[in-house]
Amino acid sequence: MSEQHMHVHGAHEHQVEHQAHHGPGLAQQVAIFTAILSTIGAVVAYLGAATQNEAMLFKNEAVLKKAEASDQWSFYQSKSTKGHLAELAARLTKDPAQNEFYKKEIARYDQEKKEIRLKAEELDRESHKVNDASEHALHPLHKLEQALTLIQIAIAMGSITALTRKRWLFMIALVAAAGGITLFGIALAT
Amino acid sequence: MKEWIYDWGGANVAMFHALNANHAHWLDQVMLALTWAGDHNRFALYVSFIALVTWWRIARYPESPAGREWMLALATFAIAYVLDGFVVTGLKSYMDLPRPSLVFLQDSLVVVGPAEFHHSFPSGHASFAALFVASLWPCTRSLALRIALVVYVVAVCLSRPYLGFHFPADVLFGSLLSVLLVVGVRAALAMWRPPSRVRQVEI
Repeated sequence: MSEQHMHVHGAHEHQVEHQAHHGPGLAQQVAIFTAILSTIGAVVAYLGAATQNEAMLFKNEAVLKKAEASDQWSFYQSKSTKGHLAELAARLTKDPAQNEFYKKEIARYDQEKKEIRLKAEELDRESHKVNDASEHALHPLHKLEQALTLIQIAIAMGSITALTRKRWLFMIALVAAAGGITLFGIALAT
Repeated sequence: MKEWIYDWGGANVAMFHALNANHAHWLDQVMLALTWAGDHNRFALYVSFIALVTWWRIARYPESPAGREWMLALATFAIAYVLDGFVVTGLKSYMDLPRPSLVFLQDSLVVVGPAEFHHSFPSGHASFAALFVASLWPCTRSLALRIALVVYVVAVCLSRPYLGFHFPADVLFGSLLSVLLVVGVRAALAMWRPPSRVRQVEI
């Protein structure tokens, strides 16, 4: 009885041997490339959403400050109207005691108007400041959106590469990915 | 024309009210979670999942038909997502149909979350969920997995009228649009790709 053994290689074993000699195949590289890129894409998308939320919060704050300033300006307007009425009353009255009373009232209204005006102007300034902060917070958003688009293109091109086995498509995917990551870096730096 | 295609002779509105009428706190949370899962911002999450399964398949069985099928699914999903973004955004702007919050009085519907008023057609959430499921469909052989995928897409579609953001017609057309897009992209990619290198080894 012969003790000879014969080992027959299957298609899978050929591939495993091929990989052992030549490293992982293009399809595997593309799959890993896609997984890494999509992770970066998730971070970019998260930062984009966070940037929008931050800008929205600043904008809300600016609107609230503007509304408070508007309240103060209305208050100022009512004091001004009351002051004018007191002036009219002072002119119309013949009674010196009444006249004296209205003059004091006019002085009081003028003083109150100054305080209210200062407060309203301060609130206006704060509103502008927070509005500027909102605009500033939105600056990186465009870069992040562009970065995400390039990353999506890179993912699409990478997966087509694996299907068609055309390496030049992978080069395009790499360039798109590099562009996306660069824009992401610029967005983080600004 | 619109009466039959979009309004379905009044059935669209009737179905919206049927889905939107009854609310419970726990169900609101479930529907919000489904809407989160169907948001197109989850693209990176889903594409990572497909990429990792593809990598695992190819690493385990190099050049196997299953690995190629997953690679095709990955490519289909990635390309169709970019195209879907253009088509859905374009249709939303072009049609500019009102959302339920603009059509009905505040007391006659329930909106969970900040109300939206414009660009109702088609639903981006339904479109994205259907895109994911349609891309994965050819890779899945198990009946249980296919049922799970159908349940996922139907649940995302139901969550939109339930939360008060879309009419049923929006979600239906959104899903159909994505399925057509996936079929088109897949057919184009299948034509382009070269045949498999795996040979039948005869012993």
